[in-house]
Amino acid sequence: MEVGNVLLLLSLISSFISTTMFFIALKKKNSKYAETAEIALYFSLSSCFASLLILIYYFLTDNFLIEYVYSHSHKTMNVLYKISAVWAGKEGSLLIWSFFSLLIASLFVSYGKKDLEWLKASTVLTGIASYILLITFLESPFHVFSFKPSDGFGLNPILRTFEMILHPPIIFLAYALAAVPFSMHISNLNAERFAKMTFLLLSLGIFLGGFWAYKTLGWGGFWAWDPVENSSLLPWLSILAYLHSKKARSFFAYLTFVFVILATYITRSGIVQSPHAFVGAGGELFLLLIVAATVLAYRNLKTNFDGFCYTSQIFLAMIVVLLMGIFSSIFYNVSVNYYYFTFLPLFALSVILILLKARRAILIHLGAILIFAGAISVWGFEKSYDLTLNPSAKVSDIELRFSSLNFSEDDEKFVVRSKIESNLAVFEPEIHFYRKPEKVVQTVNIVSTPLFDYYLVMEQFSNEFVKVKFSIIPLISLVWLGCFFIVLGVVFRLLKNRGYKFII
Amino acid sequence: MRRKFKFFESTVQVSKKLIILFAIFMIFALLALIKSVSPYMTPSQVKSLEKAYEIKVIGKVEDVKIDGEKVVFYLADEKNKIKVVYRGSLNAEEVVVVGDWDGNVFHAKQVLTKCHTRYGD
Repeated sequence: MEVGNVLLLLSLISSFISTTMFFIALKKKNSKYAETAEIALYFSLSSCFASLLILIYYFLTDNFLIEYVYSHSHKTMNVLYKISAVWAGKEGSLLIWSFFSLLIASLFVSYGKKDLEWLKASTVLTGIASYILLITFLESPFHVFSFKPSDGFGLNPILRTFEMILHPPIIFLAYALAAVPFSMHISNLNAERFAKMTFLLLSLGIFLGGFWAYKTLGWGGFWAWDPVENSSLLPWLSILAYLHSKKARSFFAYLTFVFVILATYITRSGIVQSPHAFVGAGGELFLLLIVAATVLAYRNLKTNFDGFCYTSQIFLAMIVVLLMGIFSSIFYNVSVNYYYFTFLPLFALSVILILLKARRAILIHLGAILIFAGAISVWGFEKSYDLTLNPSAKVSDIELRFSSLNFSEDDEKFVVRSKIESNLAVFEPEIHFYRKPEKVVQTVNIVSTPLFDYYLVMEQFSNEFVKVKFSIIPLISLVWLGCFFIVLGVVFRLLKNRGYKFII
Repeated sequence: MRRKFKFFESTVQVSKKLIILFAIFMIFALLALIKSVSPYMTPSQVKSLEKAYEIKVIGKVEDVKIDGEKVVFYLADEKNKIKVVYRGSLNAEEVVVVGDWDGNVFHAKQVLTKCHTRYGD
């Protein structure tokens, strides 16, 4: 057996032992079993970390005997992208999710108060981590070829960006964290800080994804209402509802966890056509986890709450709207108009409520208003033009003039760069012809000003003319500023809990 | 007027007005959804996919070139266009293509023409 697999199996067995020991300790109210459980958990974390390191090592040493390395890397790829390729695919991203789950469970166990409530939460948290580890082991990234290919297939070129190095680990850290509020509410503990941390990382991950999509052509701007993007909003909205409600928190903690699993299922099962979708089976194991979580919640969430406030109602309505859209997209193509007619009015309503009612967390709420204003401006007033520059063309008062073509080559690709002069700035859009895998990528050249983004893509080229797509995007900067305010605002509030003082 | 629900072994009370508002909105959302679904994808959506098999894409035909027995053309919506290769003839402005997308080119197995009269022929 492949050494990475052996380590994964060791990690899996010890995490099972740990969960069982925690459970026995809980039933017998005996802390001796809990000590064994704790040690087993740390051992499981260590061997999972070791297998992650081995996978990284395989990527760095171009070990194409491993199928996963072969499909996501090739020899001359940049070292940073070789590392990010570890979580570029289905199996590898499961591995880092397992690692983060075990890490969070270990931190929770070692810093806890070690009473019965803590024991119960630890049992659930460790159980969840070991289940994710089980799925990882079944869909192991350490599958070995019977022969060694001379070079790899290569990482999808559009994933070779700075944002895509960070986006997956942040999302999976957030997913691992989302299990904590759920587990804590199962044993009636207050999980506000963990909920805030989950919200922070989910926001950061989603915003990074949006920024990346905006900079990469053809993904429909920063938000395309793609079913996978939408399903990533589900846990984000429910953790938001959690933070806004006082009495229905255990319900929203449960919902957040279920939506994390559901989002993973939708992404992995390939039931929807999406840029994110990984093709392959094995998704059903996630559905089983949802069932288990629901049974656990049904039997243990006993908090009495006397109502959803109107804020939670709005978030719930948003969630239902998204769910309806996501499930319809399994069978049909859902036009973005559906979301414009349903989600945006709810978003507008929440902005009105913020303006009328919000007195706390001003920075975060301001961020939400900015994102709304920016999104409306972009979706309502963006203008796109298909232009042939032979050698020049004029759009309102902007004149674009094709000046020259430039050809170059590096380890990964052949680059055609055109120089287009205008009275705004010089645009240098490129077309990249990647060798491994063979793929043509048009890079977007964006000139940003505070009010407008000028977005230029080269579609075709020749010595005499170029065909370009030119877009003028108003106030997209508000969206990025809003995202920044939200992230900063949550960081401030987390620090506030630790005794730091801020005016906002 | 408050109403009681049994949920997660706990009592949930939600005011009747809110429930009615919620229900009305959901009916509206459902109608919006029924209006917005179609079995066809758009070129913009296809362009964002890495690979897709057996999909139906609707769009306008542009830049038709004949290459031997193949027809090469672009299928466009308001924002994006995709390159389509098809063995056969083509004689329409708006079509639905059925086939596979490899990330760069759409390989059409079938081209369905929409009814001409609708476009004022």
